[in-house]
Amino acid sequence: MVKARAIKEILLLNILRLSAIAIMLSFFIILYFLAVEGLKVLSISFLIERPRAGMTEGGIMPALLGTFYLTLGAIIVAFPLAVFTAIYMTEYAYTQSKTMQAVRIAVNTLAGVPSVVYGLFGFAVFVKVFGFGVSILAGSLTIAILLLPILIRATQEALFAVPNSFREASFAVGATKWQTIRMVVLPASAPGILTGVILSISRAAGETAPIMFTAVTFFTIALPDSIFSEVMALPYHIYGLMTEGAVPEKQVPIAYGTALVLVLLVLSLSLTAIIIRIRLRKQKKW
Amino acid sequence: MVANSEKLKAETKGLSFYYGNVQALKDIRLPLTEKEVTALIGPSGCGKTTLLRCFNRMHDLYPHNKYEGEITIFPDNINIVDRGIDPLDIRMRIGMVFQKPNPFPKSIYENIAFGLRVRGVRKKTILDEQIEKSLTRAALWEETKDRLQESAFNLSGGQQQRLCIARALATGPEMLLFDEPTSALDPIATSKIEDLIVGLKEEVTMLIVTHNMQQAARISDWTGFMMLGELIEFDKTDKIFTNPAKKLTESYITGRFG
Repeated sequence: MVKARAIKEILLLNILRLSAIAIMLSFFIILYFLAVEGLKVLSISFLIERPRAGMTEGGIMPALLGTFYLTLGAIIVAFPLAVFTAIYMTEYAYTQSKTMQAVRIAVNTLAGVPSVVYGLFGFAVFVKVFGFGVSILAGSLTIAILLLPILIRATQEALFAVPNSFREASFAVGATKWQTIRMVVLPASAPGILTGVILSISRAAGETAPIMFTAVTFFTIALPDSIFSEVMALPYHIYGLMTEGAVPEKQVPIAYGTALVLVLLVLSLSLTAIIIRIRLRKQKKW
Repeated sequence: MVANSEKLKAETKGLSFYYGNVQALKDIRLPLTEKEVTALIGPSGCGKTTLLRCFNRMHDLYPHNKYEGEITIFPDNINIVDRGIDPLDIRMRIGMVFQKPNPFPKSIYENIAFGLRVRGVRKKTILDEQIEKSLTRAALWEETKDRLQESAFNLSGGQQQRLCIARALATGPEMLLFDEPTSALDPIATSKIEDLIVGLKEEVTMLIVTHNMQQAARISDWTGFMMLGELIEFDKTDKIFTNPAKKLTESYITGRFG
């Protein structure tokens, strides 16, 4: 009996262990694969040059720049909106009310909507109705809507993690609600909120579908000169290289190189999030 | 039962309190004598903390809570639990110390400065002066004067609780509420807090909830015994602990239940 239980224990432990190792392996395999293929084309000039000869030569600078603008724009729009919404939902609104239940359902549903639907929505509303055209502005707004539920949830979780005893202590010395939020709750939750921001930056940089009809063009020599310019973007660049054009033997390596750049970009951002989290855990003693 | 010659700082009259539909306090009449310590004792769930938290309107932070009756604060005869009274004004006058030490995740200095900052005090000289004064009154100045910029979390539990007392004192309250302030502390830290409370009688009126009957006997002038939301008996502490009028009180303080 005792032996059977011990064997079960060992078996289970090893299943768990194997799962963890499988995850790690798939991560490294992807990275290795991308590195082997991508490093063939990756160089400084690949990063700072424009594409040449019908996308078969040159670099990815416009796409890198485009992704940067789109991501920045999306965060600038989504961040305040999400933080304000989360503060309202967590700190002010009465959570059991019908309205708040509706808001919660809306946020959760938005989080589950496929990103291509956001793309269509952005095209219909921002590109057509608002008349922004296919542009950085329309694309940023579309990504921003996609980011909202993620950011709202991350912020809410960070706010929930602040112990109520801090709020009570603040009210007890005569602080107003806003003073309490500004001077106690937000500083205590800032690292958590920041982690959410950085993760959503990664998301914004990597999305293809929302910008497909709203912001990007497969190929442009011109660099964007206003928020109404259409741009190139890394994920869409990969898509384009793999599906269009007539010289696959030259395009595919560039696609790998672009993918590597994109993954490294996203990875370095996640790493920042991880470092912030580690520092946060060290500070946190409540 | 209350000596009329003594000056009252506050008095509850017909005070009832409801968490939603649940009545937690029933028709409480409790006088608080100025610059003395009044203790509330009673078994868990008897409503003593609920009563304490009426005094600074902490219940307003959560929905569906309802006060009935009045808590009058003197000398200005304001009814604390009146809907027309801004709880902020009340909390400006009545400070609170919680069960578990709850310093902010800020420096020692900023913890004390907080109550002044929210009142718009910006001048560093005033802040510095008030911080030294409050820490001294809370018997913490000697231990912290060289480390004011350190995180409050570096302090021990007892020091943290004294910091919380200093934080409450910094804004010059007329009254202090203590919600089982030593229940999370060791005996040495507890006795320091008790000494502190006795010393503070020179300046403020205090209401303290405690589970520890010896503590009530040691530091309070008046004691109220509560059960099931009612104030069963209220009298001079000596009287309650030596010759209580009610059978229920006697059973509780002799340890027959609770």
